Amino acid sequence: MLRLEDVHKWFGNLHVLKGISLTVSRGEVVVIIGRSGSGKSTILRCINGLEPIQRGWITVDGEVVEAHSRHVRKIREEVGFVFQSFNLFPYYTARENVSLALKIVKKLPPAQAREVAEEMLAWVGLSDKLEAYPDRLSGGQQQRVAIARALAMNPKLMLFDEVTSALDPELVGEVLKVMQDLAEGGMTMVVVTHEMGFARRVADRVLFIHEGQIAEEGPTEQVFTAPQNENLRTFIQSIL
Amino acid sequence: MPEIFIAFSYKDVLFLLQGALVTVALCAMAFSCGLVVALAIGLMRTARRLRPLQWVAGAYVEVFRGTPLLMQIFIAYFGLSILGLNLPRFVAVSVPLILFTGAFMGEIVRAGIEAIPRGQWEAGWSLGMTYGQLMRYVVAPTAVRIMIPPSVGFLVQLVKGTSLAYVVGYVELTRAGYIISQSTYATMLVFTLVGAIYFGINYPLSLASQRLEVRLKRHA
Repeated sequence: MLRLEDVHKWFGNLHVLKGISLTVSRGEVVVIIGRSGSGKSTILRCINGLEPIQRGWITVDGEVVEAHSRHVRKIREEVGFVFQSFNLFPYYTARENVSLALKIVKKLPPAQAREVAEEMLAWVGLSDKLEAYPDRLSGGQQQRVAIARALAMNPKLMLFDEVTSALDPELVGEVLKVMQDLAEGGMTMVVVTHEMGFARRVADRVLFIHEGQIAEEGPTEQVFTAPQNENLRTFIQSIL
Repeated sequence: MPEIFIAFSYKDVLFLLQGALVTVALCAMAFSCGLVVALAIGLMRTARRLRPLQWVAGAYVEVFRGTPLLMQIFIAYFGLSILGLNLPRFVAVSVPLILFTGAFMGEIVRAGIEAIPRGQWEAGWSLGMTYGQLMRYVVAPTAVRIMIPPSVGFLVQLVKGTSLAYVVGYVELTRAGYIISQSTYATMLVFTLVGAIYFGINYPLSLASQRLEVRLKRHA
C-alpha cells in the first residue's frame, strides 16, 4: 500500500530524514512517535508530496509520489491528510468545507456532494453543525470536520499529523474516538502523535524516530513494554 | 449679492459636472483595466517556483510605482511622439493610468495572497486541488476581504490622480475648475466647489467599502 525506500530529506543544510524505509500494508495502523524536531511530521508531509525528497522514493499503491508534479494530485485524492492546525477554510460552513473538494476535484454533482458531506459529518458526530462556520466550532469540532473533509474523498490511506496537539485536553478524547473508530473500520493509517495511550490501544505497529532515522520499530506492545533503544527508553519514561 | 457670484452661472456648474464625469470615467476605466493587470502581477509575484516571472513583475512594479504618474503621462504622450509614435490623447492618458493602477493594485493583490496561511494551501493541495482551484476557492475568499480597505484607499488616490490628465489637454474636474476660475475670477468659490465634488465622489466610495467590509466580516 505505502512504501518508503531510503528516503532522505534536507532543509538547506539540515539533514532531517536520513534514510527512512517503511512498508505499510492495507488496513494497518502505524503510529510514529519521537521527540519534537525528530522528523516525524516531515515523513507524513513527504508521503503526501507537500515536501520534495532528495533521495530515495515513496510509492502509494505502486504510484511514485513526486512533489510538485502534476501526477501527485491523483495520489493526493487517494491520501487523506489531517493537520495539527485543522486548516479548515474559514469562509465555508462545515458542510461546505467537506463538500468543496468533492465538487471541484471529484466533480460530483452538488446534490450528491452535499449528501456525502452530511453523511461524513454525521459519522464524526456533527450533524447539528452542518451550517456552522469554523469560527463557531470548538477545536475538537473543527478537527472532526477536517477528518470528515479528508474522509469524504474516500481515501485509501489517512495521514494524521499530531492532530490533537493543538487541542484543549478535554477535547482530545472526541477526536481520538473518531480515529479509533476509523482504525477499527479497517482504514490504513499513519499517525504521528504524542498520545501514547492512543498509540497503545490502536496501533498495530509503532515506529520511534530519532534524529531523522527509525531508531526502533516493532509491534506496539513490544515497543512499549520492552524497548531496546536507549533513546526510546528515556523518551517513553519522559512521556509516561 | 457679493460681487464674486456675479459672473458665475449655472452653465459654469454644468461645465464642472461635465469635468467630474470625465474624472469618473477615467477612473472607472483605469481601475477596472488596472485590476486585470494587477491580478496578473499579483499572481506572478507570488509564483514561488517561477523566478523569472517574479523578477519581471517586480521590476514592473518598481518602475511604475517609483516614478511620478505625471511623468508617465508625459512620456506616453509627448515622449513617444518625439519617437514618431503619436498616441491618441485618450490612449496616452489611459495607458499610464492603467499601468500605474496595475503596479499599486498588484502589490495589494500580492499582499492579499501572501496573507493566506500556508496551512490553507496545504489543506487544498492535500485534497487534490489544482493551483487554479486553490486560488479561486480557497485563497480568493480570504484575500479579497484583506484587499478591500487598501484598494479603496488606492481608488480614492486614483480619483484625485486623474487630475493629471490635464497635461495632455483633458478637461477633467480640476482642469474644468481652472478654466472657469480663469474666466470668472471666482477662484475660491470654484475650487471649493471642485473640492466638494471630489469629496462627493470619494465619500460614497469609503462608505460603500465600510459596509462591504462589515458584511464580509461576518465569518472571519
